[in-house]
Amino acid sequence: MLRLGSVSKTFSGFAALTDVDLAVEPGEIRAIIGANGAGKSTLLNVVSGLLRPSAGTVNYDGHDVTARDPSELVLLGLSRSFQITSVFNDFTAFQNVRIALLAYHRRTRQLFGSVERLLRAETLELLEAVGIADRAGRQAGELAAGDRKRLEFAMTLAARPKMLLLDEPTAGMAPNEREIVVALLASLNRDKRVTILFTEHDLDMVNSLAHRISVLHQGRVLAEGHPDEIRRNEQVRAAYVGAA
Amino acid sequence: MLEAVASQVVGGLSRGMVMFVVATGLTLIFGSLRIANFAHGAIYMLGAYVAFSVSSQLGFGTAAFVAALVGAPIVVGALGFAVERGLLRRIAHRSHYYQIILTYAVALIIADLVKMIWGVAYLTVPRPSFLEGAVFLGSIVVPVYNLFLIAVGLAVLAAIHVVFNRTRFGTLVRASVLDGEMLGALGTDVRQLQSKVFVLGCMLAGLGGALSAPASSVSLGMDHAVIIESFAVVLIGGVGSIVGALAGSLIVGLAQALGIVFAPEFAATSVYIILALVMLFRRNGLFGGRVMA
Amino acid sequence: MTRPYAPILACIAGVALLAAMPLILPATYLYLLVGLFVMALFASSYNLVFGMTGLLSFCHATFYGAGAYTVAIAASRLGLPVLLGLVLAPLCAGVLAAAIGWISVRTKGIQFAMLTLALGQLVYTVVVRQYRLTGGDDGLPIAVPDWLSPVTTLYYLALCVCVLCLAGLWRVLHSPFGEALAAIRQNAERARFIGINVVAYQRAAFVIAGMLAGVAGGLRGIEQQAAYPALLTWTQSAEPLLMTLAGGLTTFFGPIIGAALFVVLNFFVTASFEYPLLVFGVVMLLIVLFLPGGVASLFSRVRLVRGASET
Repeated sequence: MLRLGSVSKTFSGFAALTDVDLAVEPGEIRAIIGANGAGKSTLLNVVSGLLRPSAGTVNYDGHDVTARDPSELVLLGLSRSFQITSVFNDFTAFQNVRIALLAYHRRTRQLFGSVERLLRAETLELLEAVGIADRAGRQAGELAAGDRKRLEFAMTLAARPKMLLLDEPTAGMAPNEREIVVALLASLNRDKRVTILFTEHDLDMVNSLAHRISVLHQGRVLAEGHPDEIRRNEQVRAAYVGAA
Repeated sequence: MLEAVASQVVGGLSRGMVMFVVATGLTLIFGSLRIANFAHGAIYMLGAYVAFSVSSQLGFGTAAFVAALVGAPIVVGALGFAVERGLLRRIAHRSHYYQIILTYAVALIIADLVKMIWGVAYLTVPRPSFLEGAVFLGSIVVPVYNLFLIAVGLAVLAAIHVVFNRTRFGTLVRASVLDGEMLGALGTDVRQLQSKVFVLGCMLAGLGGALSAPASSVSLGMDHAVIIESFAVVLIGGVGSIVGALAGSLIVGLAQALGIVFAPEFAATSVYIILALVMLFRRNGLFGGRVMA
Repeated sequence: MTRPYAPILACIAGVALLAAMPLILPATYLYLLVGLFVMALFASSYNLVFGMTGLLSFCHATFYGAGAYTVAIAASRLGLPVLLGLVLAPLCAGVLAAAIGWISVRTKGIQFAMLTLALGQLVYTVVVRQYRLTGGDDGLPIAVPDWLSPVTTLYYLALCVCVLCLAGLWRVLHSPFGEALAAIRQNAERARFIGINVVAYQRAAFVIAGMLAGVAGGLRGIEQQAAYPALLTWTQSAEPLLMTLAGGLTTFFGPIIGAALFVVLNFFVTASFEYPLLVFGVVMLLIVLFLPGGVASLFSRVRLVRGASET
């Protein structure tokens, strides 16, 4: 589904990513873990088109997307969320999800016709799926941190993604919220074959969800494998303990 | 032909030097306070009018001229201090658009105050006797005052170089341009520093006005001509960069001068063409990101 | 369901009131109102690029002036009827906006502002020099046909055109496209990531706003019976910016309120006071210091804000 070939990214001399090879199969749930600064967010930024890689290629669903604009990728079924929750703060939660749906259905080109009556059912459906339907009328900027993250998540789902890129999807969430999100991700993967690539710090959550784990250390892939293998990997332990 | 070009070039250089003095003030304010100071042109104009008054009160002689060059920056510096403390500080936390509006409002107010105090007539400040006339440089005739402007510009450049590279104040200002937040985090009273930068910027604008007063007539509307040019120069050179202000001023000054000789149709538009090209291809200006070379 | 009707009724009442004005007011005040309609449209069109989409443009007067010059050139140089010129005005302004927008919208922030400033000034300088086409410094007179000479006819023309354009703008802002623009203004990056091609939408908004400014300019030309270079300057571009900020950024009626404030202030101040800039400067200062949301924030109940609608 997603193939990275020798991807590197340097920022004025600082090598954030070096020679990263990654292959995520369709329907797989892959976690990227690593200490802060290991390059996890940079990796997601390169894949989602926010950054251009200094070297290497990114191949998604058979297309070479190495330097494509993010808005094109969304329409190809690749959706992402951000480490610092990025939503439309002045809009209500409802409006946030609705605009995501409108954009996906290419309805935003419409110049006339009221926006109010469109897509109410689908919007509510998504809000319910992430569990914030009762707060739909609240301004996004005023929602609690966990709710905002779930809102952002609902927005990524609006595009019926084939693949999700999630940057620390459960950061700052209370345990029960975390469970909701993990359950939702698992069911998406199981029922709709959504491929998921996410970065995370919470190793419990990673272990319960991920099929395979890639460990990033100082911009390189240190190890890759099943959660059990990674848990027992000496190099990984050393890197984590060393970096802590 | 060559004489015409050479004499235009000298004229362009001297204009460029005055532009440099003014633009340095603007680029420092822009870089350190992140404010697009739309009052800069009005302050320049005020400097010219104050220079006229000082000079005329003291009899228009050489001493009067020197007093004007000293007095104008002081007066406008005081005004700048009042504006920064009384007005800009109050909205420092708000969006930059409001700061632009505020400086624009101040520009309007200054423009009408100038009209109130000095009237609408064109005023002339005569050059002091030792700067009158022209000299021969080879076979071209160069007004002495132009050479004086170039000399003053270089002196200002040298003074700035010393201040910004050798003094603590200068280092702090450079740091505030490059990373103001960090500087605050390190314990410097950034607000105080920014106050001083604003006053310095205004003084430079006032000095520019005082310098240009004997070269062209002093009138209402000077502010408009200068403000756009100054912004153009600052953006061409790179916001916050003094080297950039120098480069931008010289490029614009020379382009206008050569334009008059070779393509009079385009002389007036040369600033805008250069600005448009730079904004398209070197978004941060020629020396963006570097305060001194 | 009664809530949405109240603002609509208020608008209809307002328009009806304005339509009755020629029966009550003397000609001087009717001209004042025509000027107000023109500026209200001009400022509202600017709000589309600045308040709604977040693009600080300094060349909006270029499209305004282009509208006036289109009418003037159509009438004086091509012999076309004035109303046809008024129809052509938004088309010419739109083409110009498409060109400038295509070049500029790839940049952001201060670069965008300065680029639009430079391009606007460029157009101004070219127009001033093209004496044969545009009358240069003197401007170009517009011969207004006899049926349009009476102030009442001019008034109704301006009122109808502006109401239609503003109503159209309202529909656009409340359409999916308008919602997308509001999204872009709040968080352009997130907008990209839900599949909106931000640059394309910004260019579209720029063109629509330019066309509306062109209509305003065309009306201004008819009212002044001339097109002149001052309509194209950056100071003219600053006016809708100030009106929008004074009236209330991102609200629909803010720019209209701001325009009213400026036009009325200008009328009474220039008539009696020699220092209008001083008055304007002080008013701007007071608004910036004490009314950050603009005058519209005083009417927060009645305000119709993007993004705070029901659900």
